[in-house]
Amino acid sequence: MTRGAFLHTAMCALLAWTLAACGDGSCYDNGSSLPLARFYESGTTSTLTVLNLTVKGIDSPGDTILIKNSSVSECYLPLRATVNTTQYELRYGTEEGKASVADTITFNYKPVPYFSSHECGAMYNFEVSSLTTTHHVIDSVTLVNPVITNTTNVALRIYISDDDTE
Amino acid sequence: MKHCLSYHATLLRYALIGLMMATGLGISAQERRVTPVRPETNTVRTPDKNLDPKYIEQYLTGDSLKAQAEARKDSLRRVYPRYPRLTDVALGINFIDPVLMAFGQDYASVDVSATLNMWNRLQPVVELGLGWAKSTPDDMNFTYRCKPSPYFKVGANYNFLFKSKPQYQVYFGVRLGYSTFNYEVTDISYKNSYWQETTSFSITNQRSHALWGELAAGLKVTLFKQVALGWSLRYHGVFSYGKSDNARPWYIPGYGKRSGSLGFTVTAYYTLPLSKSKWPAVD
Repeated sequence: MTRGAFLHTAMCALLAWTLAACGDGSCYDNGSSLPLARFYESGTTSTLTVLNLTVKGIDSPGDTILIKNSSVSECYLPLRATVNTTQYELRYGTEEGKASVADTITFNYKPVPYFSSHECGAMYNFEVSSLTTTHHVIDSVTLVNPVITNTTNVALRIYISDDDTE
Repeated sequence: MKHCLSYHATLLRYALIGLMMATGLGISAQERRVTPVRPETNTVRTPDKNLDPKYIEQYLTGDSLKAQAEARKDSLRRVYPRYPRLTDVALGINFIDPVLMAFGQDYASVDVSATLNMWNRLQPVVELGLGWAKSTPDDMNFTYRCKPSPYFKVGANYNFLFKSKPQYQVYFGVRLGYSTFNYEVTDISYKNSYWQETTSFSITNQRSHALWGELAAGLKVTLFKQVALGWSLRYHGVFSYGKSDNARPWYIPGYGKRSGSLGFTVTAYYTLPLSKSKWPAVD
């Protein structure tokens, strides 16, 4: 390495270090620990968009629908902090005249009180002990990290069966 | 017979050499002359203006090497005044944070320090203090508390004005800080809008520690007699800190906000001179 290149590298490193140490007091993560689920083609790492998807929490107050008949490639599935189990129903749009198909994903977990930061606040993290699903359209589900935190990373991978991908 | 001839030849050789040397000496003695001094090289060197008369005396008495050495030392003393190894000790109190707390800052650190001034140049420093915090930010769902907790820092300053009087200092310094402390996050209100649930909880008895480093730049000015005031700007970073499954500390005593990188101190000093009789006379 020449002297000039060394000086350039050293100055860039110094600049990066000093800038990295400057926080502006903003929260760059979520204000709650929400598992972000993303859809993939079964057996691959290719993401896909699920058409006409409806997502609803089972026993949600007033049967509130989280996503209604939309085309999505990912969605947040908020977990309940007062119980240890949360279930979601994923209902897929079908051709006219055919009955719709739905899968159910079940989370079993322990809510853990967590103070993230002054900017993001306090919340619950969720230590997931088991994750199950039915297999009408979903081939499998995997959890990226057993502890769901307030980061914006994908927490849940939902693999859709080959027969149902287009 | 052969030996005899050789012996005589040697004698003859020595005799000739002796004759030549005697003749040569006689010639050189006769030709010896004093070289005339040319006027342009015959200048008289005058001593330096500030040279002590005792060195001039040494020159005149012929001990010029010693005189040169001592004159050089004397010159260095004037350009580079040498303070004694233990020049003074300054006891300080950093009081800016309580003032800032009155203007809305959520945390404070107060420390006392001892600074040993060595040669008016290198200054080992020890700082001991207490830090605390209480914060209930607007539009957030918690109250963060850190009870008064101890911290200490060790380091050193380098005084750039070491040629000047110790009453005026501009310095650059480094510090290594450590603190162990307890904190809690209370009155947490957690709302899940989709499931329409609201829960309240607290995270208590959180124990942590932190190790950090600081780069400091500052100045110190004596206001009257032995009382001085100074400030320093500090750029710092945390090397390591303790976190649990439930929380990470927001505030570190002696450091400030864990995510922050700048600190500021204002310190009042009381200075005790040491070996003052050995202090050089500095304008």
